[in-house]
Amino acid sequence: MNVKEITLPVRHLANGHALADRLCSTPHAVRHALLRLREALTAAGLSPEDLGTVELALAEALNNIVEHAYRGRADGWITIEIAWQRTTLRCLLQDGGRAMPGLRLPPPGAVFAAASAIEDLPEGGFGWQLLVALTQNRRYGRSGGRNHLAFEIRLQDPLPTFCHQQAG
Amino acid sequence: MQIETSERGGSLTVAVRGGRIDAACAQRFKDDMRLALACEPRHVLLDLSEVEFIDSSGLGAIIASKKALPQGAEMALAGLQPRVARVFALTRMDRVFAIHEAGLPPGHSTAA
Repeated sequence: MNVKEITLPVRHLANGHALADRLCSTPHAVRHALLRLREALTAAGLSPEDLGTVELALAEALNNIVEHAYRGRADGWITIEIAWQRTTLRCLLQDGGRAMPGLRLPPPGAVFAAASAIEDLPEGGFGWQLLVALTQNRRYGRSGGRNHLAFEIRLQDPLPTFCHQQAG
Repeated sequence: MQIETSERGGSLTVAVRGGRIDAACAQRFKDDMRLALACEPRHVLLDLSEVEFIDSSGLGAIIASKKALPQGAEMALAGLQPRVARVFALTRMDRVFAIHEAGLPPGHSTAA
């Protein structure tokens, strides 16, 4: 599949703003999408702190799709839709990879004990832990051979209230 | 992403050059660190001051490097930007590494 990688321009809606992005299923495509989105969301007025949260949450969700839904296949597609208003940013990710095991999100998971011996430390499994820490209202669904993962991020620095620009 | 190393008296300083340790370069970071640690240092300082973004893959790669150290050797981190420090805090890995809050301690430099 030839995925045209692009961030679509921000759309101004009656109750907020939205943008969309699409990418293919490789770690480098994820990196480039995150850089594109950082630029677009900086222009939209998100604070550096909130941008950090959004970028990390999206990174973990996208890496999960690349590694587990597509299992390293480079020819898959992923779409990202982001909508935001004053204090909340909502993300919807879709992909055509394998379903989440059991068609459900994993449990929040145990936080690794700080006292573990170094040789017992995990080198993976932190992604879901980070996503849970950074996001709210995570939902997963599957239909038409597609995975849908949605989550919300509470913005620490509320954006200015949306105002309609008057013509003339 | 590249690393630069300097070694003095069994103490190795590794500076990460480049702004990200993410899924796209985590394996390379691990491989580069394994080569750098072949000198069997007693102490390693990882200078992350240029790193502005790290994800769970990058965190896992740093943990793998710590685990690859010789028995009894230590690894400390320095120069964490706020976004990077947050990843260590949220996963509680800030309790596993010694973290120098204010840049590089004296005696560590990768400058030529």
